[in-house]
Amino acid sequence: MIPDTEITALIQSLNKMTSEITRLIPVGRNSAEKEPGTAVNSLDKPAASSAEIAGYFGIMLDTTKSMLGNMGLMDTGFTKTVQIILQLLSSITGSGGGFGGFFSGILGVIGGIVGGPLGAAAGGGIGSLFGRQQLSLNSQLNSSINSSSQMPQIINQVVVKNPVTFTRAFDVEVKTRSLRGGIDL
Amino acid sequence: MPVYIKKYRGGNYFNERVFVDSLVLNYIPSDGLPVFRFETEDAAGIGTYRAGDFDLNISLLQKELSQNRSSIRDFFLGEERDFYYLIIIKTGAQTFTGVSQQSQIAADYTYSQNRWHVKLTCKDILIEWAKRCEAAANSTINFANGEQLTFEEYIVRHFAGLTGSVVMIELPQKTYLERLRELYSNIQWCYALGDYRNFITGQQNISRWETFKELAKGLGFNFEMYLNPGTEDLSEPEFIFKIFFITDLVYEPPVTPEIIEITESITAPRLEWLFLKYRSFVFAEAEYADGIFFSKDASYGSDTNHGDGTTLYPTCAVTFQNKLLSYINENQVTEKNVVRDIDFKEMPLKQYNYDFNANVPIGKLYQLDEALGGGMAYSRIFNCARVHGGNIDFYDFIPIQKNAVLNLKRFIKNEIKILKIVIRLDYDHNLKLWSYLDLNGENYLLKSISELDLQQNKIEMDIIKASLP
Repeated sequence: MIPDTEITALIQSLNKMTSEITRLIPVGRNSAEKEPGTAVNSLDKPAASSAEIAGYFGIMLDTTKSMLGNMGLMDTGFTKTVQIILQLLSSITGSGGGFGGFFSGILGVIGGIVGGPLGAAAGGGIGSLFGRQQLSLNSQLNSSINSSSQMPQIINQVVVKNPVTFTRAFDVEVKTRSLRGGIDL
Repeated sequence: MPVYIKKYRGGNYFNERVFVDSLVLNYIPSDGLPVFRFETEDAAGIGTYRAGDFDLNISLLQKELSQNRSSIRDFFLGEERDFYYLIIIKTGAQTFTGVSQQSQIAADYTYSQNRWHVKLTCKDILIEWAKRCEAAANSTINFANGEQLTFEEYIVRHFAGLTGSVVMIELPQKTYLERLRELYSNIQWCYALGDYRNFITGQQNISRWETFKELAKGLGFNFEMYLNPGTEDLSEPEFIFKIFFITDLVYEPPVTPEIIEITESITAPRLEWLFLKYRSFVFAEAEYADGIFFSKDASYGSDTNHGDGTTLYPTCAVTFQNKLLSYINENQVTEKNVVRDIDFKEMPLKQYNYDFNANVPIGKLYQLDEALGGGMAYSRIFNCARVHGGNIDFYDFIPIQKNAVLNLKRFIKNEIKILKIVIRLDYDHNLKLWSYLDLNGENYLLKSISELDLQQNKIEMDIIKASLP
């Protein structure tokens, strides 16, 4: 199990980081919408704030690593992972669509660390979810959680090849190769 | 690396040939053999026989002249007639022979891209031989009722009149009878019987090549064809048609090649059991078969001795719409059931229609004609006599089945390993298909050749691990 303190620390880090980013970059606007005459340059952010953000990132990553290190929950499954992510996301309120790509990246990291179909689903699925609309977050997460019960089948399809399918594929390959040469007597 | 090319007029080298001219090349371009493939059998099939083909490019810049002083272009395309060409590629002791019709030759006069050449598509000499034998009906084999021929005598008789004086039949050193006696010492004789052969109806529409292949499958032997060494200079080179049993290869000295590249794979999956059906007839309740099915460790076979014409058992019975194969013993107890395409595959032995002559028994199934269907495999023309306790059983097929099983084990499930290897051309050994190779103490059989590179002196081939008894 993951210690509550670590989850709390992770959530606090994310919240703090979010508020900092909100302060520095107005929500819902991108660089192309800057006022006329303002330089369009990503380097026009205060250097000190960037360092601070990087610090939060470091804290968050450490916490994430620690959390994952304690993850003896692969057998309890994907549902638990999604629950944790759900807690993280629901604690972040007021963030707009502009953060979608950002969170997609963060969760992608988680996905990459978890690895395999679970990780891909956690990172790609939830991340891209959040990248769309927060309003539909709960329903979509629910559907993700519900679909988690199907995961073993997905794993079977990906990792353990169906013997019959494999046999046919092999036969086809061998026959195709043979057709290029060799003549029946 | 000479290439001998002989030009003939006619249809088939083994049937009709008039020597016209010949050409010897000591050089071919670096891309002279863009396609080169010789095979023995389909890696995924059962009881299939395959041959090969190759393309040969000859540069039009080459200055060699034919025996009749023709240039390369004129030798191949100077005149349109019923010409065909015999091409022999000789690398040391090895030879590869193909036949190309004039219609399979094309000249490319594009000067760029290193073309400006004549391209010949050549088919394996074994295909030419098969075509010759396909053109003769089985009914033309002179094999009268009352005649008894040993395996060796029968094979010679089977090809009598087809060899065109340029084919020599090479038979195994060990006679077929000796081979069977190693399995059952109480065998009195083993013959092909003229009466049995003549039971089969419609032989005027069955080719000798087809029946030969059926015989090979049913008895478990194999065959190949290659040049008789030393005859490549003759205007009519000779060929050896070699008939052999896989089990004999273990006695040949293995070739130890110099390996350049090697990759490994497993053959297409096989099922656990293989069923050989030598004779069958259909009743309403089942198809009763004279045959055997076997796995790596066990076998169940019918028993065809006793000529009472009434006892069906033990038998291999096929029921459930041809899906379920059962071995029913002499007490009519079902000992074993296997399911088609799940547990077993059937060796595709053609079941020929037959019609018994009166008073010529063929074992206990005699007089049970195929009223509702069934037939007889060509190899069932052979029969043994065995002594049991002072009595002779005259209709014994068990030793023949047993010997076939030994040679067909590569078709059952045992995960035969395939290696694709590239080896240095060995000029001392005559490396042929089915050659026996030694790789670090493990023995392999040469199944197919997929590339011959004469510039770099290497040859690519597939070999399978030899699971010989």
